[in-house]
Amino acid sequence: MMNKKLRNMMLFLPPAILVIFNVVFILSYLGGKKGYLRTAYQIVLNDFYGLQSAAFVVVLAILCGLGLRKKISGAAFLRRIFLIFLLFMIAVNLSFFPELNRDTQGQESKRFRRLRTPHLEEAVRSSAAKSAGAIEKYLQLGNDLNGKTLIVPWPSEDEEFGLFIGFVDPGAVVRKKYPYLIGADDLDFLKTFDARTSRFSIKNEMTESLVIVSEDPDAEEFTLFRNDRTIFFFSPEIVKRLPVNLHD
Amino acid sequence: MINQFLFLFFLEVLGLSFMILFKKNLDRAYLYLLSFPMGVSLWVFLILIFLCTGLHLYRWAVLTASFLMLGAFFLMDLKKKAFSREERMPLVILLLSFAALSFVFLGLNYSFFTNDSWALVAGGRTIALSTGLPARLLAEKGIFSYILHSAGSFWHFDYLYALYPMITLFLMLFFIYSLYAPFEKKRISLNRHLAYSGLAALFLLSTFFILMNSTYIHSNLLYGFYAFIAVFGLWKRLRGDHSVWLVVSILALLSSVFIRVEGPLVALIPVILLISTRELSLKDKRIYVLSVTLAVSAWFLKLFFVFSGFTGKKLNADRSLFVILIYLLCLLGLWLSEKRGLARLRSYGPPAMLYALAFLWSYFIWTKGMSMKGGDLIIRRYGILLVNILRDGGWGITWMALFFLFIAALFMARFPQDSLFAYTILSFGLLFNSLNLFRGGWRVGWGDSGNRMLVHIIFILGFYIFLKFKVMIFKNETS
Repeated sequence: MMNKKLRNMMLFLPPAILVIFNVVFILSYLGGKKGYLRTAYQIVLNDFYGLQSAAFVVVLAILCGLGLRKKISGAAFLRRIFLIFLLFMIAVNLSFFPELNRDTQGQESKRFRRLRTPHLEEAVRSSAAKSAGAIEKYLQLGNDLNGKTLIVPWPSEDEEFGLFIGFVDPGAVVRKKYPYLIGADDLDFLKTFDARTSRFSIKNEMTESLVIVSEDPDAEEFTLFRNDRTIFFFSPEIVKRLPVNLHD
Repeated sequence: MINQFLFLFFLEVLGLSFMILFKKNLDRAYLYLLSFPMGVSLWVFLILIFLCTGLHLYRWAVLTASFLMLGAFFLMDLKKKAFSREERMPLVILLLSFAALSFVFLGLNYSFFTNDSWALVAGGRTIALSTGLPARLLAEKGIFSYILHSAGSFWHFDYLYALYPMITLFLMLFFIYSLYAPFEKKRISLNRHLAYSGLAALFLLSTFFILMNSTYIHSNLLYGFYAFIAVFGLWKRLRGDHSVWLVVSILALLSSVFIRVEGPLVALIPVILLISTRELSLKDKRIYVLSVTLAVSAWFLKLFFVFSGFTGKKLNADRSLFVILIYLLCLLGLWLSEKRGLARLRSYGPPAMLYALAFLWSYFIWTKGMSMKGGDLIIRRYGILLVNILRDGGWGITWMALFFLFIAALFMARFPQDSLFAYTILSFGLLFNSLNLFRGGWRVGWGDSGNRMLVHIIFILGFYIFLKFKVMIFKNETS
């Protein structure tokens, strides 16, 4: 006769371990200690879904076995099935966190690449080709700007929104809404906001800042194909006032 | 940082002093869990009164009015002898926990900004500093979040980043408790019920996009919370709980109306369901419909004048009048539903609403499809929506699981008044699809507006599904 506690442990332990593992991994990633844990994670759980599905099937089989041998009532059986189902859904959801889907070089994992449909890839590639030249041209300008102080006035009533800040995922197509785009890959920019003077300043701490300014007002869309997630939109008026000559 | 802390703490104390007025008729846990969202709503409504009456938002005037409101509630509490000796300790613990948690969230700023976030923060400043209401801002977004972010000007802080994690915390605790003790008249055992409710909430919270929304400076999560409270409050009242739930539902519904541009249209769903029900007294219905109609009409009448001579993309003078008109039609509907000859038609209200929305959706698909290269664009748009839900929207497995569970839940044993949730969810789905056809900027990724709007319904949907399953699997243990 199996001890009741032991039986419950057998049922709930595998999904609980997966959940804990995912949580620890995410926390360690956020904490910056990603190297070892990430490698361990990839070695141990290379095919994460396969392992989770297999564990789920095993637990279900144990439960069904117990149910058939009338060790547990129908209601208890249903309750356990549903609770275990919830635990597995949590584990699967955690494994979908974007950071988990990148390999050590920060590239998307094979699993994710495989999921991409061809027509979407094609759409991204064609729009990238159109604007690739423009973006490459301004990468250098972005590097030149990095580390310099950039003062931007607070948008006033009579002027169109002077400044927009947006996050864009790598590979996303940015529809042209404002002709001038300036981007930076760091939220620190926001922290430099001074409420008293209503001004921002980009400081040297910005390590990966990227500035993209489009001088082509007719361009319909831009595609960002690096890991650039933030775009700042400046109005033409503000671009004119930038302390750096972007057209050099 | 300290100023933002003081503001959040003020909102909590304001909400608590308001909710304590109903302490005799409300479960203590609900009282505490609703204190923060209600405090946020009350403060926003106070500023809304300033804006509606044309009073300038001088810092001293806003601060005085805020503390006067708090003082008024506090005096009423004292008059009702609300702070008995045994009451004090839980209140002190609650306030201390709130203070400690808000300090944690103030220290860990993981804010997520998009250009929409920026528009909200900058718009808040504009509202606080300008003399009139800027039509350009109000034509794009609801006033609620602008007002919230205007607090930065009055309390002297840059932007309100700690609000969103605090709202997420209250939302999750409210979700857990409402699932744990939905039928609280009967005491139930703690362990398994709490484990179930906690896991259900954790399932939602383990979704990347929901977790991301806890730091995302936007209106989606706020809307989702208030919509959930509005429908939940209505459900509690329909089940015969005290009329304080009607007050809570009205305040939450009005908050949702002011949070989003499409808010007034979505709010019609619970209003129509309320008119159609036989479970509520006429007095309750009149209070609900009249107060919502008056508040919405007053604000949109103000907007009508603000928008004169201005052509907004989403809202303009004509659409403001349209909103007033449909709410007045609801009043007419309530009046007609009281007529003896027409009263028996009331039960057809909810299915009629579903059919009307389904017809509207089909009509839009057909007319838009004709103008969009034989429907190619529509198929592409729904393709994008599907790709976002299943893969790129940051939802993980959540929507796939919820979809199948919802289908199963529809055919499972009912819990009292569960049709309120079923009709709300289905109607929201149809309205969401209809409205989606009119927007631009469709894209694959979490940033797609339609993808973000899914947050609005997910807590109502999650509550409905998990309560249905709970009723089934704890059959012998619930009332």
